[in-house]
Amino acid sequence: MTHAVEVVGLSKRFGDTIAVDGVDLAVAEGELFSLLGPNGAGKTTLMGMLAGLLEPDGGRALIGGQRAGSSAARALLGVVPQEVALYPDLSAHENLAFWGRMYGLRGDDLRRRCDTLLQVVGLEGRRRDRVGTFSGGMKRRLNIAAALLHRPSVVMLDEPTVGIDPQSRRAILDYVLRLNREGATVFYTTHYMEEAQELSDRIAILDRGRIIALGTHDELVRIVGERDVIDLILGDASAGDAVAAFRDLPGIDSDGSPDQNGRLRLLADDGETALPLLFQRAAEAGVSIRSVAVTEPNLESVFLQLTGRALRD
Amino acid sequence: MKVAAIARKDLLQVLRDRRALIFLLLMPIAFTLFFGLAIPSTGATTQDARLQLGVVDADNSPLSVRLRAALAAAGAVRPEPLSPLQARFADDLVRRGDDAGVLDIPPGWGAGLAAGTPPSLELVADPGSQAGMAAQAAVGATVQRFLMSQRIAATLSATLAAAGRAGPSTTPDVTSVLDAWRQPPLGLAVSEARAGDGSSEASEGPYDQASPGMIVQFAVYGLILAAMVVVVERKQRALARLATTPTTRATIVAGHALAMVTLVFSQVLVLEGFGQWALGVPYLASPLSTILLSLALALWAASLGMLLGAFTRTEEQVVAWSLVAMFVLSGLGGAWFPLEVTGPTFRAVGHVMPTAWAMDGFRGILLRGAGLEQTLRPALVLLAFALASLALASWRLARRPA
Amino acid sequence: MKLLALAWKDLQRQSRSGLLLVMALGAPLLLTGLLFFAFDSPSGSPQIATVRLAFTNLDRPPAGSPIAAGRTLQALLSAPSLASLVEVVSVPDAAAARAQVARGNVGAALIVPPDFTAAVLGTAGPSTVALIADPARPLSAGVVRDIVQRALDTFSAGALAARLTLERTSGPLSGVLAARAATSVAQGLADSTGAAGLQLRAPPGSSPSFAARMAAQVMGAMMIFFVFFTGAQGASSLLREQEEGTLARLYTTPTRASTVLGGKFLGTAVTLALQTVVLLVASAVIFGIHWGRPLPLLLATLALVVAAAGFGVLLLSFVRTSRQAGPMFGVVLTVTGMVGGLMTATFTNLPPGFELASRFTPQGWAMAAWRACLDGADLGAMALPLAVTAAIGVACLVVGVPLMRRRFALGSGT
Repeated sequence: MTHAVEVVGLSKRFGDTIAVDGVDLAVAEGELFSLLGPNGAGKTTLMGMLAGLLEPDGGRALIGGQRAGSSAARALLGVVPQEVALYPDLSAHENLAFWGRMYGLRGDDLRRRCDTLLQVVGLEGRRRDRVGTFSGGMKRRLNIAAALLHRPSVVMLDEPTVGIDPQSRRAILDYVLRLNREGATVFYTTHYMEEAQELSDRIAILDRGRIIALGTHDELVRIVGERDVIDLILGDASAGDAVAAFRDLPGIDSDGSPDQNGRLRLLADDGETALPLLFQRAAEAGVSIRSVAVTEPNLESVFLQLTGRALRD
Repeated sequence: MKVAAIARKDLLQVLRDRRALIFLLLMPIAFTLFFGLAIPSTGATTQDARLQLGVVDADNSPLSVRLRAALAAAGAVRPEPLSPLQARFADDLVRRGDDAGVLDIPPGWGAGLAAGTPPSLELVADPGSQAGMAAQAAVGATVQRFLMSQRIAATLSATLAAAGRAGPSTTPDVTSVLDAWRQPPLGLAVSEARAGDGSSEASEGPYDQASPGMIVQFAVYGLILAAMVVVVERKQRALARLATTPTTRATIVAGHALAMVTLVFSQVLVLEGFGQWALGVPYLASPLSTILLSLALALWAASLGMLLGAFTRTEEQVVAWSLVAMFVLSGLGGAWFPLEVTGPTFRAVGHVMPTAWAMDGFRGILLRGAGLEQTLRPALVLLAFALASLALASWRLARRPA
Repeated sequence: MKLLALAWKDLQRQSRSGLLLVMALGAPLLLTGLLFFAFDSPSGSPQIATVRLAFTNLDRPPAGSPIAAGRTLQALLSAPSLASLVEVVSVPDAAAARAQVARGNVGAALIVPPDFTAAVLGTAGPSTVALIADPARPLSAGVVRDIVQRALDTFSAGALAARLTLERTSGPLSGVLAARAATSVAQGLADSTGAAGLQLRAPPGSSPSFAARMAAQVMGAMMIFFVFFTGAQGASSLLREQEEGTLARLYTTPTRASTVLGGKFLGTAVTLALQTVVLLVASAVIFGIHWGRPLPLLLATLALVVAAAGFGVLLLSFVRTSRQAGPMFGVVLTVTGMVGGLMTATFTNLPPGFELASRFTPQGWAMAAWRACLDGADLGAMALPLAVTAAIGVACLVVGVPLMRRRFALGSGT
């Protein structure tokens, strides 16, 4: 079976830094696959190799069975870069027409695709306006549209919702879902757990260049064994004592030390029974707790469990 | 204090950008040296500043030889004999600019002159070029003297003959009249007037136009920096942030203006120092006048920059308008060539430009040794332009949202 | 097709850059226009300002003198035929006249000494007229000097005739003869129709107007300067695309690197050709410049385009960011333009080294080719500068293109 995206032992080094370290994954056709990881995990580097912008130092990557970076692979791929990559002094329509030509479209087909996509991303009324005058959200929508002109079978989006307003973000997420419903394989990178959770058929968690977990949302959450997450905010003076105070409590693990704001994250087998124990121990140790929140296991807790660090730094 | 703080911030930003130093100092120095080297000076140099004049002497008589010697002695042209082959390409030599002109002395000219019926000399020269015109003037004046000498000789002969005094020992010929011209009855002594100390023999040095010209031109460049500071501050929202502090718009404008005046004034002083000590341009002939004029120039350039910054929106617009302003103000204002050599309309329009006044002031100081009294007028004109620009800039900035 | 699409995209972008339009078209026409305006005159010849001449007449003619030469000199200088050159202003004393010059109120002062008439009559020794010039106006001083010298020569001629007569005769009538000789000479000069004795012939093809000639040379130089500027801007647009992220995006499409870079070069070349054509046409219409014959003009244009585009590609190898590019290109192009003779296109009598130095720059060879074109030279005469200009451009491309490919190709982190 030919996967839409297949990666075997892919690695990339920049000087002494290993950005991607022996990554294996396979994305089925029609799947919506997310790559989740904090900043610096290697997502963009991996994406760059899949898009053919970077030469791997090891392993191989295939797009629709074609070597990543080959002309055939690029013809199957629509890449939406993380930064808006459009010509600010050309109009929305001129940008699409140009990028369409770069994908080999011409004549009526090109014209129709431009018109369709402008309508889909809600920029039909601004088709003649220069992209430089657009808001951030509008630019991002057009940025996506430019990758879809040639009806790619695989669409790669590199953190497309960074730094935009919630409304535009919602619009983009809806559009990604629609793309996938219409048959495109979507390869989506993000450091937002909620996005990965909402969109994906499967998720790979990337940390320091390696895939540390891969599966559906439910499969990943089961890694933490359905443990509850307890978020504490401690009083300033107490923060340093808290770890020692809670260390030997049964069924409770901590993520290390409180951060500079006094936040401490704990994993508990059962949040309901853990709380009284925590308060009691806190009172005995003179640790003041200013706030507490209990949440069900999620990808954050998976990441925390696997790495000992928070997904969001 | 806030004004000084804003000014200090601006100066730090500008001076940390190495590009600014290139355009503020290195480029004007390079341009000054280049144009100074390109223009032959009227003073003593090792370079022969005379125009080359091709001469085809088909006569080769004592008088034609004397004519060539007279042309060389006159000092405006350097006669170079042409071979018959070269003579056939006289038109090309002149068109290409190899020769300012080609003088053709036909056979029999000397004998004809002596007899009173000289054949016409022909000068091939381009009347539409300065070199051609200069060659025509120089050759014309010399030939005129020869013709005059012939007329004197002829008239004398007739007069003496009428009085019965003609004879081989009494009748003068052209040559003896030309000899007599060596001690003309009427002479012309040319000297130059300089302020305060009467006449002198000083002549214009090669950098006396280029140095102040480039100072004026690149002081105008300072307005790019002034405008850029204002525009970038607005774009980066720093101006909006400033506006949230208890700092008035007037204080902000004053701070920017102080920075730019300081920058341009310093630039002008450095360039004048270079001119004085490296190139021998006498800025220190009248130091107070030089400082006054330099300060006025800096005030005007900075204020024009503020005006530009108040009306433009993007860095690209600033650069475009600044370059246009620099070219127009420098070209019309006599920074590239003295307005003396231009037509009356151009001169009149030029003197509407503050740069023309600045150049007048500098040339007065450098070439006439003008003192404070004579420098006051151009300085005041520059100050008036500065005040007007600053007032307009302030008004615009006050109305414009941050 | 992709090559054309890439080139068209660049053309669109450049045509929308106000700064580029100002630099590519506005600046050269503006600069040439300024100079044309500066030197244009109805006669076609350069004209200078009318010189205000302070005239101080200290002449004391001897008793019984038939002439007052000082006053005659003043009248000569005030003649209507000289009104466009000299405006005579009477000033009673020499010190006041000098002060007027020193203050810049007059262009020059002429002080006629007391023994002027006596010297003209030959009854006294030589006399010297003092011309005090304004050092800030050397051209005006030169004009006044020439006019005054010619007038003095006219007076001197009579005096010389008298002196020569006295030297060659003796007896009681020699004085009368001397006076008669002087008068005859003066009369003869006054009556003469001013037969030239010197005919002026302009070489065929000379420009009838000084301003037009100057405009042609300046326009050629400015066109070369700003075409090179545009060439550098075209090459540096690669940097801009790299920084904008659109270059990387281009490489994610099924478009070869050679096509991307080729399209960039094609866009630049077309822009340069268009710029040159527009400037040629505009300057021909506005300033009446005759650029020469079609074939040499076409070849000169092609050579210029190749040189400018190639030089831009070579310069690109030396910059890392678009922020660096602006000042770097500005400095290099200005210096090479200066050395190449673009700023001194109208200067005559340049020091010998300048011509040689210009041959070390592509602009210098381009200027030589365009000058030949303006002069109506045939292809044979233009062959060398044309060939060298184009060859320099090709050499720059040969060196610059591999460097560019390495910098901007795939896998370079683009």
